[in-house]
Amino acid sequence: MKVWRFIVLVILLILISYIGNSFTLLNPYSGIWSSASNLNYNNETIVIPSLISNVTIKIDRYSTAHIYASNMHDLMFAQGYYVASQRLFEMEFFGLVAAGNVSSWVGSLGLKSDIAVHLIGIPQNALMNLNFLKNNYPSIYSYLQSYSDGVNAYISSLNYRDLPLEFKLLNVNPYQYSPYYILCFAQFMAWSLTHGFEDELRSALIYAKTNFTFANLLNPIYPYFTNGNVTVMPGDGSINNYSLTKQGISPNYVFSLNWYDEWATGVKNYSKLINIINQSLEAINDPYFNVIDAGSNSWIITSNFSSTHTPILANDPHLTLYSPSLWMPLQLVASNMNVTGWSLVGIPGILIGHTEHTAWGLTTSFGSSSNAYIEKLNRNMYYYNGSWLPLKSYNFTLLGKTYTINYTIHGPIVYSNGTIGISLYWVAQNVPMTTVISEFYLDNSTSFNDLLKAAQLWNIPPQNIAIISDNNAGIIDAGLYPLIKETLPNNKTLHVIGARAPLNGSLPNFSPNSYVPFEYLPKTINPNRGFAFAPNQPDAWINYPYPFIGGYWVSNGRAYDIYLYLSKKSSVSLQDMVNLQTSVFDSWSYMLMPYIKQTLSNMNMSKIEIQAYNEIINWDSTFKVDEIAPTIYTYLVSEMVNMSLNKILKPLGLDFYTGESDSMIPSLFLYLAKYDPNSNIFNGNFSKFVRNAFEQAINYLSSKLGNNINNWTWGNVHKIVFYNPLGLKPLSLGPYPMYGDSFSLAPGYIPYALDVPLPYVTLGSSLRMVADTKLQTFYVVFPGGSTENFLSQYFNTQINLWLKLEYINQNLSSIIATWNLKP
Amino acid sequence: MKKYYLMVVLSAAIAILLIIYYPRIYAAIIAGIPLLFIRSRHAFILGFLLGILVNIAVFLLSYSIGLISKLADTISALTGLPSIVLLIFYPLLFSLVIGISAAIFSEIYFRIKKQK
Repeated sequence: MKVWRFIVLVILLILISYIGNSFTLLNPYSGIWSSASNLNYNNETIVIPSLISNVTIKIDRYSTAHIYASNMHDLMFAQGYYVASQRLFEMEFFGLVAAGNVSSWVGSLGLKSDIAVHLIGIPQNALMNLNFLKNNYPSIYSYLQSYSDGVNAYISSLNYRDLPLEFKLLNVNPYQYSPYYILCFAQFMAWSLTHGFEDELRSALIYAKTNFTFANLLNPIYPYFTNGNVTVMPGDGSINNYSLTKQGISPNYVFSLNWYDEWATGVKNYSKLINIINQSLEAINDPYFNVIDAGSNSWIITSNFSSTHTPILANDPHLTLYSPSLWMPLQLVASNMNVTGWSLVGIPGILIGHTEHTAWGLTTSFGSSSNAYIEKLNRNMYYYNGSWLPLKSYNFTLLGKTYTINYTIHGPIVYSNGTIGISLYWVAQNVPMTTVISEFYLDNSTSFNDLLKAAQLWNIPPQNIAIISDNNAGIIDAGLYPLIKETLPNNKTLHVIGARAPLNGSLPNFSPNSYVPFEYLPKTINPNRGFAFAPNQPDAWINYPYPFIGGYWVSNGRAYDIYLYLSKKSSVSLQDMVNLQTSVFDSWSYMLMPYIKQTLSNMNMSKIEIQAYNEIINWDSTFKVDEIAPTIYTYLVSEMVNMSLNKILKPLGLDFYTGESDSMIPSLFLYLAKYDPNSNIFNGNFSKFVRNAFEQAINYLSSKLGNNINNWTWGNVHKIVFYNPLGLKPLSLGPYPMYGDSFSLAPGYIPYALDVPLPYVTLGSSLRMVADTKLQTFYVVFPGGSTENFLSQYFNTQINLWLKLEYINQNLSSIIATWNLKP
Repeated sequence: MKKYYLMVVLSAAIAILLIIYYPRIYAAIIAGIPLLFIRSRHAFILGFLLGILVNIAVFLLSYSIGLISKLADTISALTGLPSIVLLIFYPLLFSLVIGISAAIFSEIYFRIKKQK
């Protein structure tokens, strides 16, 4: 070999070796390909010195792990170990996002998210909570520590080959988990389910750009067609013999007032604040990872109304449907505890589930527990109660740069232009979140009284906790609702919850000064009519002693779905409840269709319009994937939106209103069709308006789907995708044809849009449970599996069942593997 | 001849151990050393082929083809790189390093031998 060739070879060797170092993740053994190995569950014996005694984990064929320990330390430790073994990346990712430090993994891509999380105050609140638990509830704190120790024991057992794929792709290592991250994620979830701040800002935008009449039309304090039959707490709103009328105040007067007015908010003119409101909304918009709470369903059946004379509970919380799911199905058994259900990945205990004698479910109450305040600023001072006070500041560092957040008495200023700012008041900034403790009370409950005690500790975020025991059933809207003392134009004073728009932060009378006492929280226990339900509709009707002025409820659609079904029955069975939970019936469509059909019945139609009309004429307002009528109805309503609301709202920059999924739109159209068919919204003539919209909709569908109407099936235009939390589309699942719409109990949330297909459904029933504790019968399903490894058959064990609206009978699942954990 | 077989087996064993326990590409240099008794051109070819075969063997023994193919397609969709490139890139570099290493050590060995 010639010398120069030799030198070239040496240089080549150095070069390839150097370049090759960057590609170790493609190594066939320890690189990314290792995700394709060890995909099955095997019987294993694992030695973990930190355990006190033996723990057994039995994994069943539907991916539920049953963990048996002899003490709480080992139980929590084993839960942490097991969850980490299945979802390590997911839990660490959630923890890091919630701690406002995801930029340490993804660089500047995560910076906006991190700043938003700090602005909201999630890591700060978590630290406060941590100290509170350490000092006041050391046993609960020890559970969080044991869980974290379990996670870390799993991490320390890993080598590079065992790391989940995402760690390798991001070129990062797992960090040591701790109670801090648990509490950060708990706070993050709490914020995702908290209402008030953003609603008040959006509501103010509508008011500022239109007027009171129009704002009230679009965004009424109570959704259309609310009455005491469909509220969470049935009746006129009185509770424990206390009401507005008992305070000498007329409910009708209260709800006829303009709550945007200066007397109610202390703010003269919102139109000058439009820019700052928009900027504030943008500042806390978390672009990296969202848990959107679109709504949820729960209802309870009393033993008198149940065909088996035992209470029944049904719950399905609607959240962003990630792949893998936010939930992990588990049974946790220790000496005094036997609880089965779903834990949030990264948080110990069971959040929704049942014990041997109790069951509970959660839905969000859309009443305000956070508020927006307009603050007057001057450099590092803010104006409050006639004085200039110093702003408190909080510093944090991201990617080597230090950021500062300033606080007024109400909370962090999320955006300011120098002299005016908007601050965020959130209960969690001032009060430790005892919800974590409440969860363990629920998990250990054996009676209805235990459930009530747990509800008393549930403070943030407010949730409708549906509860049953062997003999009792009820729903409590548990949580802290801050109260604002208002003086009405008639000079009477009362305490209200929330506001319709940001409040004047300089005036102390608009600052929250107390909370709704527990005994006056909306609740119903063993209701006489035999049932109660809480699918995010108003908690209480107008005589409630603490008016929900800041109530940003959904449209009552799902409440009517439940009410129409149950009010026609004299008793119901467990199977009826399964049928109701999987119902794809839309009550708004059912109530609106007669007006539409009447209008179209004497219209001159083309051949294809006649075909379309024939599809909807006998339609029962169910949204099944193989039906054509749901497509025609949905695009008809979309055209109606496009021809009316969009024309008004888009030029004003208010199109967020029509972009929502569970919106007021169909109920608004129904209200106007019924009471004001000549409304300007309908261009003065409902009949003409609907006919035009019908023509447009059929033209549109023909142009997109062809003239063969058989291709216009709902599943062809309405699809679901389960996105990867990191936003990696190839790791997502779908699209699959999807049933339901935004107002059916088995939901398939979509905004009214003129697109084929419609925007993908990404929110829905994140789990479904129908429980009867006395009969020990539990039907459950969730769109997920145990592991986050998408190559494993256990990645999406239950998705097909979920898509087919089927359930697992929890008592009938066989064990496929057993892990023995030994000290 | 027996010595050559032994050296090839040794080289393959080192290559496998390196792939499993020390996945840095430069470490493949070590796997090329036992091939120094073979003339440089043949040493390169042999080293290269040996590297490829060892990588293929590790793939086939560790995973099912279907799963690897699904994973490669997914990573391909994430990165925009063709699946086949993702699959062969590491084996190619690893094998080149063994081959070049073998050729270099062979050249050194035969030069020393010649000088003696």
